[in-house]
Amino acid sequence: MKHVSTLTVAITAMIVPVSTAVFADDKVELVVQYTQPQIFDGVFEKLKADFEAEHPNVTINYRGVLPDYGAGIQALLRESLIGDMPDVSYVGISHIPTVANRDLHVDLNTLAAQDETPLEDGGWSDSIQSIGRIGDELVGLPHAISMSVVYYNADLVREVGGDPDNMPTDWEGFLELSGKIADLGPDYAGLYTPYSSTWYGAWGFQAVHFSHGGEMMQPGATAVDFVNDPVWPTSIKIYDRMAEEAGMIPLGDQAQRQQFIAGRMGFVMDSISRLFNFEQAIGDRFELRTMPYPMAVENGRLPTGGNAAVITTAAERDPAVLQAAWDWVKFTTGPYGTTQVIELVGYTPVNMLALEDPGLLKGYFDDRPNHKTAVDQLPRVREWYQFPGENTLKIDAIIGDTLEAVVDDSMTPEEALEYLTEEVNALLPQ
Amino acid sequence: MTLAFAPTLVRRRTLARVGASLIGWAMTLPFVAGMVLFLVLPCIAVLGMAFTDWSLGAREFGFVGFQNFEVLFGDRTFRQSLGNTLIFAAIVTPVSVAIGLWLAVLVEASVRGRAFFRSALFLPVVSTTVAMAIVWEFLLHPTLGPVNTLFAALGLPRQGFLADADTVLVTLAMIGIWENAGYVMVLTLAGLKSIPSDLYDAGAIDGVDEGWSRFWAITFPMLGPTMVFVVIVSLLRSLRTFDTVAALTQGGPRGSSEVLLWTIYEEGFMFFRVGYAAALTVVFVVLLLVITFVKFRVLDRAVHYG
Amino acid sequence: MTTLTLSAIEKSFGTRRVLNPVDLACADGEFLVIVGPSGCGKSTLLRIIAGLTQQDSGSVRIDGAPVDDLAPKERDIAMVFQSYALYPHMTVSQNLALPLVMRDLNWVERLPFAAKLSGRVRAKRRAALEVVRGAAETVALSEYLDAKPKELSGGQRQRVALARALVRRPRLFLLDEPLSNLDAALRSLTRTEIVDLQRRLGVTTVYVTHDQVEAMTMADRIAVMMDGDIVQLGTPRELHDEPADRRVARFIGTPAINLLPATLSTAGTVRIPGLAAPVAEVLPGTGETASERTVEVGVRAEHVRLADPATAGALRGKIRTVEYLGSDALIHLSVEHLGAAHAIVARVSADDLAHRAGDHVGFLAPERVHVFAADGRRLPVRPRPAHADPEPQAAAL
Repeated sequence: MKHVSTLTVAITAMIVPVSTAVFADDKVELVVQYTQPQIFDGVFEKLKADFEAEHPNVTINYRGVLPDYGAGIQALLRESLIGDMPDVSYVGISHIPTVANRDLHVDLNTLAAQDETPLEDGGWSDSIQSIGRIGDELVGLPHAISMSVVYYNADLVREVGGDPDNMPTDWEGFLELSGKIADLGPDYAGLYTPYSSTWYGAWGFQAVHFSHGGEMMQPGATAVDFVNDPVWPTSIKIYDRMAEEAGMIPLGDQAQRQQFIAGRMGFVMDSISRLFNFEQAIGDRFELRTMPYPMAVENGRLPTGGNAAVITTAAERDPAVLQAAWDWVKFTTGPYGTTQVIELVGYTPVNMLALEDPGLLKGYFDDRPNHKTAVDQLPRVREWYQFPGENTLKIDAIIGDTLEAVVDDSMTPEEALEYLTEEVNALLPQ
Repeated sequence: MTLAFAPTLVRRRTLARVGASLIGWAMTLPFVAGMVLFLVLPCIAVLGMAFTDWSLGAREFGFVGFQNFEVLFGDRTFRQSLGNTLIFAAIVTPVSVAIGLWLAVLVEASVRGRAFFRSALFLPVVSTTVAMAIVWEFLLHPTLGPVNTLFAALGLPRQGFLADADTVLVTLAMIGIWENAGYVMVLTLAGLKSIPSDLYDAGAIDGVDEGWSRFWAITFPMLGPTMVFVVIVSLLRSLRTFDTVAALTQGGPRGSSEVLLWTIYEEGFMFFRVGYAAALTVVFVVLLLVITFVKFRVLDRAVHYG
Repeated sequence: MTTLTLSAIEKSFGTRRVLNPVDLACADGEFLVIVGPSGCGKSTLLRIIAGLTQQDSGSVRIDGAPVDDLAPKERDIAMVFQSYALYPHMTVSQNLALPLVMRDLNWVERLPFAAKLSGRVRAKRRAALEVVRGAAETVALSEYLDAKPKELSGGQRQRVALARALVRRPRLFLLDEPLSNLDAALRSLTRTEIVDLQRRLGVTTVYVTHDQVEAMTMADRIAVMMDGDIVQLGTPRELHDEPADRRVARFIGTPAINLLPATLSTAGTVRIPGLAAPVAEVLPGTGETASERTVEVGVRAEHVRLADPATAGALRGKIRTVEYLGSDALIHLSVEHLGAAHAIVARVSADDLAHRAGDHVGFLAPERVHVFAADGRRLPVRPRPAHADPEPQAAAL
């Protein structure tokens, strides 16, 4: 159902002749938008310089500073209304469906089809591509992706008699060890996994749920029934147990991290993108380590976070621009780009070739065990689940609210399942 | 007495009046145009959107009649948000006005350091809430924060503050009071300055010369118009509270700190449910209009002006 | 029986000296006016009497007892302010009752509901109301008791302020420029009203004004203040006839006294240049006659007599303007031998008015003059014999 608003047509009509004039001498100007400047400024400056050196006819222009993915998607939606989108936008993974629903993107499959080498051979594995895929269309290519790992305070683990070199891999052992740390004193907390009403809480829940082999919504279903779902009750119950047995105290995300940094918390189940941050904040206060996310089942999975590069319909104004945009996207998400992201920012590699190239990332993780944990988890990565329809973000918030209620004991897991079933069904497309 | 020459005179006057009013309109045109463009039209647009299911960035939408409003009044989040907003305003407005008034009288009476106290107490008004939020977050941290350390030292039970659904709204209200009291103080100081000193002299001779009697007999009544303004502004400010919620709690835990403006923002710009957010906005504006109306009808009568 | 005594009152604001040591006494029932140009310290003096401003040194005594350590309300005084200082949020009745309520009721009794609970409070309130009604009647405001000050005219507000000062029957009545916010007609009417009231009540009154007409018409005695000093204290007539110095002479009387340059011989003879006959003889012993010096001769307008320009022994001048005032007229002359800039004013009866602007006239050496030394001091002159004009009444000004 693709039809363009009159306004967009009018504005595009105004822009196109101008662009043609400007780019008459084959100079191409590419407008790019990314968010979180405090994290990404460095890497994008380097990528721009290197890309422009390789493509002398292309100029990369970064558009204004936006603090986070929320602000990024808001800006993109507003710009789409007045026909002023950037050519390439680095969109939060959770907002990929929002882009797709509104047809703001160019299907990258069509661009890839014209290339000599298929994407797979360029190192963009199918599982990486699946993160940016909606239906058959490749809406975006992951640029900086993250996943949950477990950060832990090795000193506290030793203090309660655990072995930091031999940590539990399943939920039961994990919760038990966490409970012991919480028992150290009233100022101590066992663990933390995000459960707030922001998207972050929903993302944290998907990690818990997928690690138990669950599905957010049964494939093909049009409504949910969490009460009778095979995995949902277990996943919700985990939050109750974390609060009851494992010493999770109700705090906001930021306060939780402060508690961990202060050395008064055993475990934080948080994005690998926080690694550099934690290392800096903790310093020598205690020994920070990471371990793989606990798995209740063999084929447990983890949702992706981070962002993906999307080429917007704005790039279609000129074939040269579109080609430049595609080159840029492959450059920033390819072996070289991903290496820059890993080395300058953190996150997880998005291109497999980089891992095999000694000039790039091969061997990079050997003396970085904390970071390597995430690379080892790469096979478990799957997409960040989005509910069908327009209300997926609101559903995420409701899930977060409900988890908060379970944690602070104002709802039992059973009540929570019933409540969620009712609320989510009301927000799914009828 | 003007009968004889009335017709011509009237015509000339009418023409003159039309001319004058044309000039008047022409002169207000930039302002009127600005108001129409930036106030009236957006308001109409919001009202229109409230009857649609438009989602931000969507290419098409449908009219859904009053469905948004029906959903809204059954919406738990909205009811909680409205209730929280009213409770928040009901705490912040009277307390911050009382404290601000008290501070103003105190600062005005102090001989030394008046400029220092005035600036120090006005600081919360000019400082960025987001920057202050970081400080608050640290101070009020349930386990690591100095406030709880102090509480523990005093033998008081530890509080969850922003992390506890039962205390989050009160905690935010305290921050709101902290922010607004300085604002009230500065406005009130201006009001105090305009009270003629003769009145205090006359009072001193008549026997109205110490603290309370002087305050109730002269200062407070003379501040009447200022107080009406201050109360209304404080009320509107507290109903419009947004940035502390956005920076500190995002409405949580469990919606315990949802306030209307945050809910509108959340629905419109985080969930992209613009139609629904527009309906919320309409309700919010109606609430503000009711308050303004009450202000004109009730408070203006009870207060002496000039 | 109330007397007021000020002894050696001094006051400075920062480095600015406002009151040099000031001594002043006010007899029982006296209407004393302190008059002086603005900034002379008269209002500060009044505020010190009221206790609103604390003097740096010196003492205020009422009925012989020092009140320096008493708060204003304990001094048993009342004050009327230039701005009237009415409480705008209270009705006339409440404004008038406030001093009584504050004096007669304690804070518990003043609570809004106290009158409902206690008969004693009710009785006190009723008594206060009676006094208020009486005071309102005195100033003819009975029908405005429930009005707010903003509903009243300037004159009515002024009377409310007066009545508020009266309700408590104070020992001492202080008024600070109470008439300056009124228009001219109302001002002269209120002047008489205040004087009448004061006479009737017999309350000792200190009245501060910058307007010498008010001072002259109302006062029993006037204290003229200049630059923080009381330069002269006396009855209106004394001030008019025997001003202490040039400043007082210039300040008192309308129009201001004419001053002409003159010389003082060692023999004590005062001559105006261009005039053959001496105008006065200074009494010996003033210390001014050791050598010939320059002095000034002061002549009041009503003592200048016009004559034919040809008259022997007359000064000549040209009429610049004639101010017709009804019963008499003021004629402004430029004095020929002193240049056009030097003007004097003559008051003539309107009946005798035969001159117009531009006429050249002579004017005669005045017979009643003041002689001022170079430092401004008035030099006593030998009284001139007989044929002096009957003294014009100050009140007729």
